[in-house]
Formats: sequence, C-alpha cells, structure tokens
Amino acid sequence: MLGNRSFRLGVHIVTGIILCALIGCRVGPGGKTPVTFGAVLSLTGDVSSWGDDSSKGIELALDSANRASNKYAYRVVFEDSKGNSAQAVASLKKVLSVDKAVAVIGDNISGPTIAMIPTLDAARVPMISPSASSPKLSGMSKYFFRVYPSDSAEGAFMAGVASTQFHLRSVAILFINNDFGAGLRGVFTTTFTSQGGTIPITLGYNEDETDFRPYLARVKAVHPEGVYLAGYYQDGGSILKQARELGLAARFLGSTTHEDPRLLKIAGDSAEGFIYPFSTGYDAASSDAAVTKFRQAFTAKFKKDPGLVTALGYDCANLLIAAVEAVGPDSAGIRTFLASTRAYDGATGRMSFDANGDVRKTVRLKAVRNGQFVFTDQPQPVEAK
Amino acid sequence: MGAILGAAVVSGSIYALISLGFALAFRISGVFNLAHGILLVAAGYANYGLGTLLGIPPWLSIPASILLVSLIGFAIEGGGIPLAKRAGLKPVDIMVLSWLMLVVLQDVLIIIFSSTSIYMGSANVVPGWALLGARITPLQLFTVSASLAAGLGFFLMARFSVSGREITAVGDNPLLASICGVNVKRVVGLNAAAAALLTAGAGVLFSYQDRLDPTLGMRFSIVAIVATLAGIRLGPAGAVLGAFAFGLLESLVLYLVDPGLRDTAVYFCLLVVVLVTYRRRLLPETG
Amino acid sequence: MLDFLSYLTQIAVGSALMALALSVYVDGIGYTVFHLLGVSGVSAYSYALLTVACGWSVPLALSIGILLGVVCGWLCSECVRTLRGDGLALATFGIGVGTFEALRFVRITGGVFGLAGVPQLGVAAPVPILATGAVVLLVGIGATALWRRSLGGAIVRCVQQDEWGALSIGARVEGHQRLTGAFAGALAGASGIYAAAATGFIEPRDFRPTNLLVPLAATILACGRTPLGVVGGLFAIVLFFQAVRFIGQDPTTAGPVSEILVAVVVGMVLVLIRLRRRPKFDG
Repeated sequence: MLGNRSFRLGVHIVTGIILCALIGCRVGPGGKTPVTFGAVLSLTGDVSSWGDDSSKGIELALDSANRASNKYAYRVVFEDSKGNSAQAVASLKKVLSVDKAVAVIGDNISGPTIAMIPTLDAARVPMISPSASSPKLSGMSKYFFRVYPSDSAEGAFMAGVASTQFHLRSVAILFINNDFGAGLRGVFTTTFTSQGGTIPITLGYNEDETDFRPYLARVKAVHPEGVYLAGYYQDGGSILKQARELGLAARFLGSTTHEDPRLLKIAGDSAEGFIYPFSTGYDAASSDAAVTKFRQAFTAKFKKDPGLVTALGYDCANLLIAAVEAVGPDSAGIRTFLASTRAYDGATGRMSFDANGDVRKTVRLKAVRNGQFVFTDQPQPVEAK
Repeated sequence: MGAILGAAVVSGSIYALISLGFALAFRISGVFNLAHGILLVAAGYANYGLGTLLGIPPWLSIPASILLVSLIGFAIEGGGIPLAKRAGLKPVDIMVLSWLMLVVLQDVLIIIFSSTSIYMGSANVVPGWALLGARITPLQLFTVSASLAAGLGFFLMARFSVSGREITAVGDNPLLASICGVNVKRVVGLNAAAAALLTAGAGVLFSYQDRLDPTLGMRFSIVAIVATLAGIRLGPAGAVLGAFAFGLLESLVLYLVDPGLRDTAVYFCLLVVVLVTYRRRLLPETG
Repeated sequence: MLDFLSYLTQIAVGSALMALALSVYVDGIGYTVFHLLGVSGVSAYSYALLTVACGWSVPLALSIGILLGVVCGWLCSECVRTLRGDGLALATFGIGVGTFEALRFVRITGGVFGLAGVPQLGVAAPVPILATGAVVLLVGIGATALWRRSLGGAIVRCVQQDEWGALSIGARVEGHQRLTGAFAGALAGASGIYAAAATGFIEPRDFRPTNLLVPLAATILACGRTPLGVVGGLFAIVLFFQAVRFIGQDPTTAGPVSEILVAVVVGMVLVLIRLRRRPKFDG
C-alpha cells in the first residue's frame, strides 16, 4: 500500500492542507498576527443593558484598531456571564482554555468579577473591568484592573454630601442585594455615622424585585430625612415613583449607576431633585480630543449617542490594544503595561492605575432638574498620578 | 394595616384573573399547565412590542396583543392538552411538557426583547383614591372590579346556567357528557378560549401597573395553581377567592415579616396546598 | 484539546451526576421529582462551609456533604410519600424552591453573595481535572448500575409498573420510596459538591429547580436505558450547547436558542416514549 502512488499523493495533499491550515491559523488577515481578547460580560440577565452597552464600546475600539494597526489583527470573543458568578467562571475558563485569550474584559458587576479572580490568578492573565466597583476588588489580584472607581470613593463622597451639604441627620438605605449594593451600603454607613449621622433602617432587595412598596412602607415608618439608594436605574426609577405614590417625603440620594435616560422614563416627575455622584469621568459634552473621537465614531457606527457604560467598555478595549501595540500579545507584558499606566487619556477622562489596580477619578455631584441630568458643582482639576 | 390590605387587594386582583383562567382550564383538563403564567407575560410583551416598538396606538395594540396571545393559549389548552390526553399521556407527563413549553416561550421572549424588563404605565404618579388607608389608582380599581365581576360571573354561570353545567359535566366525565348530548369539543374550545382571554387580559393590565420580566411566568403559574387548589371546593370561582387570600398572605409576609420572602411565600404555599388538597386516587392504604 | 476537555468535564460531570440522581427516580420507581437540586445545594453548601469556614479536610467535608444529601433525600421522600404523579412533582418543586430560598436568606451561607474559595477536588490542572471527573463519573455510573441490578432496583421497577401488584407480592413500597430518596439524595449531593468544587464558588442561584432542565432532558433522552446512556445523553446536550455557541457566535441568543431546541427535542422524545409504553396505573 505504501508503494501506491495515489496513496502517497493523497498523503502529500492532506499534509499540505494541514500545513496551510496551521500557517493560516498563525497569520491573520493581511499577514497580521491574530490577537484574541476575551470579554465576559452580563449580556443577559438583570444588568443586560450594561453588558450590551459595554460590548458596543469594545467592538468600536477593535474596529478602529484593526483599521489602524499594521501588525495585529484583534478579535474579541464575547461570553455571557448572565450576571451569575458560576457562569462567569465557566465563561472565563472557556475563553482562557479554548480561545486562548491574552487578556480579558469583564465583568460588568462585582459578584461575578470577584468569583473570576482565583481563575485569573491561576492562569496569570490580566483582566480589566468596565464597571465592577466593589471595594473588595481593590488589591484583590495583581492581574485585575478597572476603569470604574471603587465604591469607596463615591460612597464616602455621598455620605459627605448628605451630612455637610444637605445637613441630613438620618438617612435610610435601600440597597440591591449584590456586591455592588452591599459595598456602597458599607462605605456610606461607615462614613455617614463617623460624621455624626444615623442610619435608622437598612433594607436589601433582590435583583429581580419590582415592587418596592413594602420596603418603602418600612422606610416611611422611621421618618428619615434622606434615603440613599445603592442600586441601578431600573430599581431606582421604580423606587422613586413608588415613594412618591406613598407620599414619602425625604431627600433621595443615589449612585452613578442611576444616570440613564430610562430612569427618567420610569420615574418621570418623581425623579426631580434626585441627587447622585458622577464618578466615571465620561462627560458627553466634553470637547477633549479622546471624547470627541469616541463620540463621533460611535454615532457614525450605531446612529445614536453613546452612554457612559459604552465609553467605559471602549476605554477597557483601548487600554488592552495600547498594551499589545507596546509590548506584544503577551499576558505578562500586558499586565505590566497596565500597572504602569499613567495619565492615559480615554473617553472617560484621564486615568492612572494605582497599586491596587484601581483608577482615580474626580467625583462630582449631579442632580435631576427639569427632566435632565445636570452638574450641580464646578469641575475640579483632574489629578494625573 | 391599610397599606397591607390595599396591596393585598391590588395584587390579589391580578392573581385572581390569571387564577380564574387557570382554574377554568384545569376544571376540564385536570392538568397543571405550567405554561399558563408565561401567557400573562407574553401578553404584556406583545402589547409593548406592538405599542412601543411598532408605534401602534393602544386602542389597537391592546386588543391585538390579547387576541394574539389568546390564540397561543387556545392552541395549548384547547388543542395541545386534549390531544395529549387522548393519546394516553399521563397528567405528570403533560405537566413536564407544559414546563418545556414555558421554557420555549420564555426564551422566545428573551430573544425578541433581549431580557429587558418592561413597564407600560405612566411615569407620572397618578394620585388615585384613598381606600382602606391605602391609595388605589383608577386602573387598579378597574382590575379589582374586573376580577370580582369575572369571579362572580363564573360562579353564577357554573351554578345556574346550562353552559356552566356542561363545563362541570365535561370536567367530571367527558365520555358520559358526550353520551348525554353535550358537544364536548365546543365546550373544551370555548372554555380554553375564555381561560386564555382572561390570562392575556391580566397580562396587559399588569404591564401597566408593574414591571414585567420574561422570567416571571413560572411564578404566576405557581400562584395560579395555589389559588386554584385553595379554592377547589368552589370550582373556578373559588380560584378568585383563593387568589385574594393568597394576595393577603403575601402582603402580610412582605409588610410584616420580610419583603425579600415573596418567592418563599409562593412556593411554601404551593407545598402546603398540594399536601393538603391532593388526594391519592386508586392506591391502597399502606399504613 | 486537553484544556477544552477539562473545561467540558468541569461543566458536565456535576450535571451528569444530577441526571443519574433523577434517573434513579424516573427510571426506577417512576416518579417525576424536582427537589434534587435543593438537596444538592444543602450538600454543596455544607462542603463549602466545612472547608472554607471551619477548615475541615476535603475528604471529611465531602463525606459529611454526601451524608447530608442522603438524609435530605430521605426526609424529602418522607414528606411526599403519599403523593403521586403531578401532585408529587408540584410538591417536590415547592420543596426545591423552598430550599433555594432558605439558602438565599440565611446569613451563614453568605446569602445572595455566595461563598468563594471552595477547594477543588484534586489538582487544578487539565489532566488531574479529567482524571478526577472520570473517576467521579465512573463511581456514579457504577453505583447507579449496581442499584438497578439489585433486588431493590427490581422491586422499584415493579412498583413503577404496577403498585398494586407489587404490594400484593409483599413489596414494601414506603421502604423503597425511602431508599430511592436516600440514594438519589447521595447522587444529588455528590453532584452539588462536584459543581461547587469545579468553579470554586457557590451561590444559591445555582440550585434553582429550573436548572433541572438539562439533567431531566438527559434522563428522558436516555429512554430508560443504562446509566451510561443517561451520562452520554448529558454530554451530548452539553456539546450541543457548545456547538450552537460556536456556530452562532452570539452568546446572547446561543443560550436561549439551545434551550429551545433541547426543550423541543426532549418534548418530542417524551411523547414518543410514553406513547410506546403500555397503559399504566393513574396515580
């Protein structure tokens, strides 16, 4: 059989095909080196809008990079964590073991992100999150970075605003039962009580809760001067509206995650006077070059205005792209590049990562006035560290 | 206490409509159709899709969505379940099939609407009227009235009308009913249509009062089962009373115990009513 | 390839054990039940708490976890021993969800935040993961096969066929209900512990009864055949989900589309199987 000419020809053909396939795998389109990023995001579930928005920002960044780069062909493999920690870990393992991602973007929320850290450490692959904000993540791993400030910044800021600016002496807290809500609750409580305030009641609600009247009835019973909402725009909007229905007269304070046009759609007039911090740094009205470039590119591709979560996803992807362009598609090199990032100008402002992988941004105060989200304070100079 | 009673009445009214629909279908089929709750959710989403996404005015989108979802419900209750029974499938197998149907319909909604929860009501607070120490809006009052009227109507129909007796006859023994001259297919069909219409109507009303999510279907199915079994001695109209009783229990748990125990209350009630009301038929005593 | 296989093993072995537990009920005594995920949650949390919070060794915590699964399975079977058919299915559904809600509510379990740092069973490398998964699976398959071939297994199949007839020949139905519950509880407990150890993280949402779709589908697709058939069906479904994901490239629709296809196929198979069987007692 070995002497058969047809058989030998067939072996050569098959070998050639296999070799071509292998070569084809190593070299991307146009002879560029393929680089794969993984993106484990909450694409479905209770915070699917965040996953969807950040994925658009990531896609936009990769499109631009693929047009501009001569050396690398970037691709991202999206996996859906469903806002679920176990699913996030499984998705992370898949992008690391099957797709061989050199770096990962994710998750949008803190619970799944915290769950992924041990796997990240074991694999020695860097991960950058667009919006996970739990204080627990600070310094949890040298492979973890985030472009969204820790809750400790905005939680402490709002506690200070409540006590020194609005002179509130008692503030009830309604928080969503996840790492994000629990983190904010913890920081707010510690700071507010250290400044002489009291927290008469703290109530956690589940992520799928839609009827907040039983919670608000309990809050109303303790007559707080203020109510601090540590949740997202969907539950925040429902809470504001239902609080007005119940006649709860208190000043409502919230978190950065409440800034979304859909909050106004849900709450309507009930949102008037709602105060919240703005800590992500994305200012749609800014004329900075990076912000303008992002906004124009997004509008041209998606035919609508971008939101802050999209900008955060965009910055995550661009940071990884900048790292690869500088040091190549090597996970260790990317990690070192990110750790040494100083004064990077992104769509969400100027960023630097500290030793804990956290980003420092100025927190400003915003409010809902006449159906619009407006700044109530003067912008502070951005710190570049 | 007023807030508790008000909440009980308002939530009980939605539960009553869906439970009445479930009870009507259950009276004839004897099957726990777990896909029943997803019809309520689908009606809300259909109204959202037609009204908000396609821009069709409410006077058209509301009846269209009710009709569309009623057709799906009719296909399941009036077509699928009787066919499965005639083919010899046991009630537990049909229940498993209905669960699979719920999964399919839920996933279809997730694909079409991307897991977004919807709310069709007005953003502005409607002052409403004071009732039992709580405030009730015109829409909520309409829902309560509709559920009570439907319950009373079906109770009177079941007791005093020919149609009601036909439903009872077909539910007890379709073969004997057929021998006695009852058009079983017509009764099954009309009953299924009524059940589906009630549920779809409840879905549209709910979407104007509270946020709706594709994953709520199972919870509504379980509430309907609990209410139906609780009021089983009074027939389908008993489901209305069972629903209001469940609404009261749920409100007591939410307002007096812990608001996070809503689902716990639902499933605990399920376990209790099944254990209390279910009878083992044709099996020997084992001591 | 090894990485991919070890990843598949980690996501599939836990579900395979759950499918075996379900098959003990469905193919054995003939009951459809939905409480087994709750039982697996109790075992998984006990394993996690004993190792993470109390610092116990993995083998000891594993044994205690499985023992708790046995006890919970037995207790659940006691609660519902007078029920049959759809009533039994509903009651066990209530038990399953009640357990999930209790896990979510109780602070010691970490509540909705869950518990991190759950130790792995063995070394966290592809080959050891494959080996551990294979061993666990073989033990589960072997135990289930032994059960089916035993006298107890034969008696429960008699009960499934004809409960009156089984009683008339002296079968102790209640005793066999308890044994079935205990054995299925052990398998379910092992399933929960393996899944928790594989991800290193555990939260109440992992144990909702609605997560039984895939194990139930595998049990139905096996059509009452050997435990190997059940496990094979489970792996086929898992591979199918992965294949849909690769083909579709969109993770948001791949999951729901896979679920729809699995639900449709399983529904059709269930109808076909039931139509082929002889008419049985109505319970």
